[in-house]
Amino acid sequence: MGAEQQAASAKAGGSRFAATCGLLRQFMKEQGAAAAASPAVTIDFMPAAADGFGAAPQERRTMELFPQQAGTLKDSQDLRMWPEKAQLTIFYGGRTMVFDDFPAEKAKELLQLAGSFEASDAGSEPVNYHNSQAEPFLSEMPMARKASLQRFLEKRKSRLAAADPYYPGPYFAPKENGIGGKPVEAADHGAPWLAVSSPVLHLN
Amino acid sequence: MGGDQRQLGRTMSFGIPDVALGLVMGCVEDPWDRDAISLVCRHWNRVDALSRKHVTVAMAYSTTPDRLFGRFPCLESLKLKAKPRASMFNLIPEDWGGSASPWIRQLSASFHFLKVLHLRRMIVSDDDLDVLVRAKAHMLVSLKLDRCSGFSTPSLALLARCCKKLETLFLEESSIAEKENDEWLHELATSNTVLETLNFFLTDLRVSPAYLVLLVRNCRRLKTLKISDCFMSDLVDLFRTAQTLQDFAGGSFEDQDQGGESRNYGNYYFPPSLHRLSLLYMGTNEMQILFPYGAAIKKLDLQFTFLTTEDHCQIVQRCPNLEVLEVRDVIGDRGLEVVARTCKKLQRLRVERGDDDQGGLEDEHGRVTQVGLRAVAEGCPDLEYWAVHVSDITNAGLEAIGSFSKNLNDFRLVLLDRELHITELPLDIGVRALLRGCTKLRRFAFYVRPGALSDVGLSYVGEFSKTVRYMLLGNVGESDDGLLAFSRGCPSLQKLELRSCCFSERALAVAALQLKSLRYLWVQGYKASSTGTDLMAMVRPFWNIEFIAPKQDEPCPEGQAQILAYYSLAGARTDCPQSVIPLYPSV
Repeated sequence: MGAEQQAASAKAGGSRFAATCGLLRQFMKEQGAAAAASPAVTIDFMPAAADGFGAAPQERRTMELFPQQAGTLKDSQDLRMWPEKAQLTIFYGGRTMVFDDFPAEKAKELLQLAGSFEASDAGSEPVNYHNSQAEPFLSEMPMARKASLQRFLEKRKSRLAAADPYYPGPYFAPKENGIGGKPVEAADHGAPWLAVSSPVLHLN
Repeated sequence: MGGDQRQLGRTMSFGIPDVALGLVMGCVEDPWDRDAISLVCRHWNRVDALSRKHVTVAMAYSTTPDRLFGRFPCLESLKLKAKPRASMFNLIPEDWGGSASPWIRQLSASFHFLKVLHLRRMIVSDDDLDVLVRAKAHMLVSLKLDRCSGFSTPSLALLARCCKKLETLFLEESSIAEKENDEWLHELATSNTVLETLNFFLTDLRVSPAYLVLLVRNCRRLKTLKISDCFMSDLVDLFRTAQTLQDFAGGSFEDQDQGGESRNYGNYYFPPSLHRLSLLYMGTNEMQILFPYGAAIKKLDLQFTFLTTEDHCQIVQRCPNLEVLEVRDVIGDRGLEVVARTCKKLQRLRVERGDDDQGGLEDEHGRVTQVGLRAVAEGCPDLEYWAVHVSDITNAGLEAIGSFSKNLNDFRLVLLDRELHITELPLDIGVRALLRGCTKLRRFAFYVRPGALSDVGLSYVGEFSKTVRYMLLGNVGESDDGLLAFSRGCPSLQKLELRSCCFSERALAVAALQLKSLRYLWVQGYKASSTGTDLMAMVRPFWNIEFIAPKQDEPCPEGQAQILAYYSLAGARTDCPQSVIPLYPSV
């Protein structure tokens, strides 16, 4: 993987020099393997340890992977391993809610409730992607505008609309903290979420 | 045979005397070449590390200050970026993170040779600046607080008073408290004699024109002055004094309809050295102040002006030596045709999105389409950077860019959503031709609308963007198949931003694993699964995943949630606010 990635990044650099270094590195690595076979020769061929992203992460200390992750709701058996109270994060339809010190028992009730919803929704699960572009979320994502231009256009509008001939103060719309106005927000059409979230709130 | 090879290996690694190696290294500045050298063997890695003068950390959470110092103890220049690019579009929660404190503490204590610091999209407190000034006042040559926030003008005064070697002070678009207090500028003008660049463009800072004049009088080397808004009529003395000034941005013109009082800018004076200009709020009545200087102007930023399409034509046709032009789309196809005829040396062109609101604003009716694009592609062969917001586009328009714009290394196209109908969809073959033709492309953005790029088109993007390192795609593809085909290509893609696409979490996760050079992914607007579990398929060592929900207390509006994922050797972030939920193993 290392050499391949190196070749790729050399290509990205567009530099024959980098490509040559990549080959050199590969060569050194192969030499390293040969050297390891004969104990008489000791050459340190460790690849660069590093801050660069090119370093092969596998060779560093291992981190525990996903299986125990906090957060998503799993089978109810898992509940037995949970402490009495823990933080609960719920993902639903791309949204999240976080509850601190959520009692295990209530989490279990919640799981059953969610399970029943899932069962009833199961039929509608397979999605025809080709229809998906017509789904509303696409049109709900307003095109973002650069903050600097946003501020300018607001100013421009107020200038053009200004009835008062005496210009009062700073040109940019006054705002103490932060650079621009708030982003435009899409209207919330999230009915399915509300259906599930209200029992959650009761539990809390 | 094996013995010979080992011999060769020794020769290549150790046979070059360190002095020679050091001399060669001294000539290698390109960071990509440097990276390649550092990966050859441990010895070369060390030689590189000790001789590296500049490092850019594209994502501040991808490593730690300790680690950086451990590897590059002799750094003279450091650039750090933190908040995602989307923060410039107000899409990232204010409290997302990106504090400069840990970095400033470490570099103040350890980086003994550091004299150039550039912080971009970070939070820099007054305490941070205090620490920095105490440790580095005698060294600091350049400080850029680029789109940063969290500090106030008294810290700038401290900086100005103590850092006598400061040649560059850059604060562009930063959010700075106590903006009415301009004591810092007085300090700078009286304490510093070596300043070459002062930039507080697009900030809310208020300054006295008299202090600006004092500054240009005392800092005889000042070449770049970019200020906030300040009436041009108050800057007459400034321009008469600043005889070496090359680059000016800022200023402001009085309201055109201000009580019938109109100023005469007919005899306005700019120093002869000035060739880069950005004037805020300039209107039709004032634009003639540029006319006598047209031939001298190399860079013109008209983004923040009130000019009409015709005004743009009038100005541009007087500027045959333009290398950089930045405008809003009010320039229209007509303006771009003038650009194509006149500006044969143009290297950078930005056409930003203007006002969409047609309500009564009759002067904003520019429309940029394939017609303007084709003209520019044919007329401006030196173009390297081209970002454009269009109202319409065709395959032929994109093909023309692929055929003529052979020097493009950065091309960004946004198709606006103002008009319901686009002449031709999908744009698959046009994109393919563009990517095939523009072989130097390193950055590519294609933000269109549903239906404008099919799955096949998206697979072309993967296949023909072999050298592209950064990509932004919006409203592209029809299904997960498109994304998966895309992700089998793009061998060099390191940073990918996706917005408003129909891809599932599962497909995003697979794509992230498949793109072999990918180290940074930002997504907003995707097909969320009911549990979010599918995102977990992305989990792997050293890959930090953040789920950003803009508002924690209320359900996140559909599609507004964001996924940010990046390689990190720093481990888990410890400063996540409530709106940021890290999705990596918590036990």
